[in-house]
Amino acid sequence: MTNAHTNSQMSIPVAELINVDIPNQEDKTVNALKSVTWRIMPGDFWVVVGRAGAGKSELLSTIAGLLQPTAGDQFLFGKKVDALRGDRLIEGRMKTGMVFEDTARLFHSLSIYQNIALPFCYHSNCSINDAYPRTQKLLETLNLEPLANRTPTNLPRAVRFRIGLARALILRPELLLLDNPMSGFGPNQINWCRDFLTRLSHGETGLFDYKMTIVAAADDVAPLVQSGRKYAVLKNATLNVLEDPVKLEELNHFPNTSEFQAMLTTIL
Amino acid sequence: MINSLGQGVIRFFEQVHELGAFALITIGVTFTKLNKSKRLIHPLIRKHIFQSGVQLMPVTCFLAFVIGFIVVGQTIAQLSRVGAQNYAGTVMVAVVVRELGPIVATLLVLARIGTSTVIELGTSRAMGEIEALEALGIDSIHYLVMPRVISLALAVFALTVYLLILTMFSGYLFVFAQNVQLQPWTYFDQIAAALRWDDFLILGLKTVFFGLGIGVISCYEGLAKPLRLEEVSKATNRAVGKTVALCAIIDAIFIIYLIV
Repeated sequence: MTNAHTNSQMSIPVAELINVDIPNQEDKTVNALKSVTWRIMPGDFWVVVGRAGAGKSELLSTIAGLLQPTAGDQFLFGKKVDALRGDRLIEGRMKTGMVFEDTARLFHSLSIYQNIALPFCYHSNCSINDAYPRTQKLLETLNLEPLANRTPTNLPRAVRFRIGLARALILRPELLLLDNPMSGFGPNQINWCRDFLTRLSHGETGLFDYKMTIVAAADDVAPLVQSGRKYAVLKNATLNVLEDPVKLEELNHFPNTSEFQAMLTTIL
Repeated sequence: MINSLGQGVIRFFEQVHELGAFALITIGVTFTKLNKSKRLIHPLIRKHIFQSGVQLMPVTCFLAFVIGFIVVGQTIAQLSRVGAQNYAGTVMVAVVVRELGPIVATLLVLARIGTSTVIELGTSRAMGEIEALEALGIDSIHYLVMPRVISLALAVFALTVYLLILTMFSGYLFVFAQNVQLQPWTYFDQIAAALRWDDFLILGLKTVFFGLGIGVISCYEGLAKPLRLEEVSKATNRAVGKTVALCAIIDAIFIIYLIV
């Protein structure tokens, strides 16, 4: 909490990319995104829109420090990422929660409770059982309590997302990165998730007493339009930031889907 | 032909280099982070020791009886027919203590634990779980590799010791069953006399190195490089082949030491 507030007061960007080239995850000789310049400030809720293969996962992985840019400067919580080593790098990662796409990359050999408790236990030097109070609160808030002792195999996508979200939140991150959230969700799950993310960004979940900075990258923008406060589009290997509504005409390059029309309407 | 031979040699040295680097990183992490997050990591080490050591005890006992019957019982029975039962201890130490015991225990652990380690880690790698660990600030070498390597080294050592003790007893059981004129105290005196002080040291070192070899190679094959799910079985085959080769080399080094 204190870190988030300190950043907010000092207006240090949570993450910043300056002329960054980002390689493709599968083939690192090819750049997925070029010359990305982007600043994420404390309390922002960014919605990044892009088709499948536009470089959304690469962008989020780069911000999280999992993928190294091929050019440019990258900063995380005011510190240059390529200079971060050892404990400082771990500290940066602890402040950044990431929920991965599709399967949420849960640990299949651990129960749901253990999946969520693991990062807290690792960084706090406690046993899995000692993490019960903290884990229990997340399980309750995210409606995962009845599933706590199951392994995450064969669970619906929405449930896996909630587990991944709980695992990311247990370290009380300042920045939350969501890769294609709500993809394949039913209407009720979308409503729940949208509401939860909105409350998270306003600090109203009861879990944290600070406003979390959120970056959600998605190919289906409709569920996120109302939650987001800032928008960007990934197209032709570039990131087009739409902070200024005047720049909205840039959106005309994007396919004219009904979902995107909804986004346009909302922004306007 | 020379080209392919050259490529093979280069690949071999690349592999040695990569495995060596992975082993050094693992050793470095073990020394610097053994007590980090110990309330999470130490129970994990105990869990792996249970899996690779305690759970293999029944099959180790079975193998000890089989070796006792096939090798020790038969050998001593044959020796006594030509009046050479005084060499029973020497044969026991040379065949079972120095060679067969450590190799059988190593192959058992490799087959049961080494292969499952590659599959488990390879699947985790293919499913992106390792990246998720990194995203959470968890050192995958510290959390996944170190506990396995430590437990495998201890398991191979401990299982070898149990295997040898049980083999000696079961061997005598079969000698007794075949009515060979060899008193138990004579049999154990011969073994004690044939043992050199450095046999204990070499047994300890050899089994620990075998265990470390299984641990490092299985973890390297499962974890060190990006894998797709369909490549996990090939990685498992590679791990088995490399571990057997490494153990043969380690064994050869100790044999040379004993001969010289």
